[in-house]
Amino acid sequence: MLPRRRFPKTRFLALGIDWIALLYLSLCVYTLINHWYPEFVAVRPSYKVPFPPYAWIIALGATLALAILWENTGVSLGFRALGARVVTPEGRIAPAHQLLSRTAVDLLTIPPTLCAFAIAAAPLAGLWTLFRGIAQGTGVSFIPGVTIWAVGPWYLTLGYVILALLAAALTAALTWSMLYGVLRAFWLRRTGERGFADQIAGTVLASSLDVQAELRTRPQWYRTASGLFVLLLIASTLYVGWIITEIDLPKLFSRIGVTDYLWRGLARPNFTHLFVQEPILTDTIGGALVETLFMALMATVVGGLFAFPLSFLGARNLMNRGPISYAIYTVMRGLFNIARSIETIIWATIIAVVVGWGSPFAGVLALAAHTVAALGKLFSEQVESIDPGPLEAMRAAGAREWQVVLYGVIPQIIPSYLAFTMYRWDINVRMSTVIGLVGGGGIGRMLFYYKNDGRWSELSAVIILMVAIVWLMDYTSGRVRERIT
Amino acid sequence: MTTSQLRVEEVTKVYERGEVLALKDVSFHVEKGEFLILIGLSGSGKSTLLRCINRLIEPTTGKIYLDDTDVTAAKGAELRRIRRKIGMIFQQFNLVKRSSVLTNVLAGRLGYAARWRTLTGRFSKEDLERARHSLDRVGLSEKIYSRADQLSGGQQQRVGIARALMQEPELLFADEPVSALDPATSNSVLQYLEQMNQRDGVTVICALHFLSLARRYGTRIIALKDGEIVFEGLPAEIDAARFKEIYGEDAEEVEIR
Repeated sequence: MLPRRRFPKTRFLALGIDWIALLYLSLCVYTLINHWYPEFVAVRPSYKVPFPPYAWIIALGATLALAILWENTGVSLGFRALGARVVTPEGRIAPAHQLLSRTAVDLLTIPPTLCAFAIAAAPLAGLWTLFRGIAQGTGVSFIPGVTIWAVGPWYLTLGYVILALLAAALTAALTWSMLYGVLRAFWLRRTGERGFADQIAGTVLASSLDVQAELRTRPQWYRTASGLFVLLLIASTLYVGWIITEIDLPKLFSRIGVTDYLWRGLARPNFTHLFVQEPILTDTIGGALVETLFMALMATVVGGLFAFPLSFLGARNLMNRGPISYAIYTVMRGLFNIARSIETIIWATIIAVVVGWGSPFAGVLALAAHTVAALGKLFSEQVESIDPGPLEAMRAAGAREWQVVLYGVIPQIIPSYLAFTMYRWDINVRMSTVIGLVGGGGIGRMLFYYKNDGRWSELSAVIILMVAIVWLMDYTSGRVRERIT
Repeated sequence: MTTSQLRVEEVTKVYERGEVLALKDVSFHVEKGEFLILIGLSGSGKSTLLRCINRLIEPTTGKIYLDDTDVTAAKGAELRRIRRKIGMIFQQFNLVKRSSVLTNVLAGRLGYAARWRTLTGRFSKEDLERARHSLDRVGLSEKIYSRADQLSGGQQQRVGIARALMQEPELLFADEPVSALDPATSNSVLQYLEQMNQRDGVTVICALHFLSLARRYGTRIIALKDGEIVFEGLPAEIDAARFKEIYGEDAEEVEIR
């Protein structure tokens, strides 16, 4: 059986993967050199290895060339990832001379391609010069720096503009058809055809599943180039990550001893202000805790009430009755995803500016905004996973669409809606402990105040109470959810 | 000249941008009081045909008339009025599993009940009485407040029949009603259909897998193969040769008593 050909999609995808991987590795290497150079070579500790703008061009070009060379070994990372190999038409390992000629063809066809692109850009550059000259009133020209017609009567200018446009159109027609010709000859192929390099070298880019048996036994990953390359990628990523995040364990150990006042304070929690008012904040810890719980509750109720009707609009199985309903579905899902990807703490930061710093109302709004989106998405998914059978039965019995929702959809989703809302309240309690930090009110405000004041014993008390509340919520909501689903 | 109760004329159904031809020029008439059986392999178009008649699936071309009303042209309220005259029971019973048996049975009345009553869930006394009576007929009056998923398969299908009874149908569609049931239960379910057919004069169109059941209950059989009618006639006319024609060379008849 002849191997199934996988060109051109696989080829260009694989080239993209290899190129990006190599470019990424080279940038990792640059970061590492930048880190080592001042440490071991340079005198000044702030020294940076220069990376001028043209270095990007060099990096892009060099990695592309490397990627092409790698591909022409027949087994690159990209080929491996996409399950393809360069083989002979009979599905056997391509011999070295074939791979070499494939490489040569690939490398030789790149310069003419780039030239074709550059030439094809000429009419665009000419048009750009023409319009800039007219806009700036410097004259009519399509060659930068050369003014063909400076200033004159308007009809002559118009005539020159029309002439220039005609010239640009003619050049475009010529250069672009030439570009297409070059691309068609070297690169563009229909699905399943052979690439130019493959044609010349007599090879085939085939699915690695149906090459001859001798190729199907893969060596251990650590004996293949792509395996080792991935290992190198992972290792350098972790090392670069270590450098970028400035992980410094000795610093942690040396500072831990210096901050002993902190640990001593935290070890002796002070619950005095649980019920006694804190003068500056005019609130007690207990009061702030109650505030937090109610913030979470109100946000969950408000969010849930809004999410309930919206979730039907975001359910694909109810909204596939034509283009309008599908558009509503798409918009709804988009809104859910956008609102959900803005974290509660960011909502709170913004809303606190509107309704006042430290107001629990800000916290409620922030939590509610995120809750609507999160519950809306979860609810919609529940609606999508219901059994469509009963809906069909009701439609067959002559029910209206809203009756189908009322009698077929809602009974199926109520338990999971309750469970998700419960779970969301639990999450909201956890979230509301921190949004006080950014002006959302509640217990977080206390936490922030004590931390700024350096009152570690009171801070410790707040933390302990927070943990207790969160644990309690988690436990009860877990038990309740168990019962209703 | 009296016309047939249901007339299906050259109905064709094409799925998915013309890739799958589910029904090809299907035409047949059904007289009042018939017990018509549709047989054929899975995927031969039985379910699609039934759903095209009550427009759960839109037929691509063709005409369907029920009591001389053009079903294919009906819209909105008129379509719902047609649908409520046709009871339907399903292979997977299609009950709301979390709802009570009573609620499930009352759902069959949604096409008739006043809008505000269905919105608040307060069905009229007559509808409740009708629901009790329907459940009584299928022998499930004790299970009226049970959750549907606490019932056995046969019982669930009987709830499905009770739901169809709520519509006081003139026509009953059964889409492989016994495929998910064991042989003994299958017979009891089909006996309820037979009873509806003979006592209430409901015309029944039933898709079935088992030829033995088809022979026993059907007054007429239509066989589909790849979306086309390949046989139309009396149950007794299906012999071994016909059977092979409908089900393919490798098929072996399975008896179910």
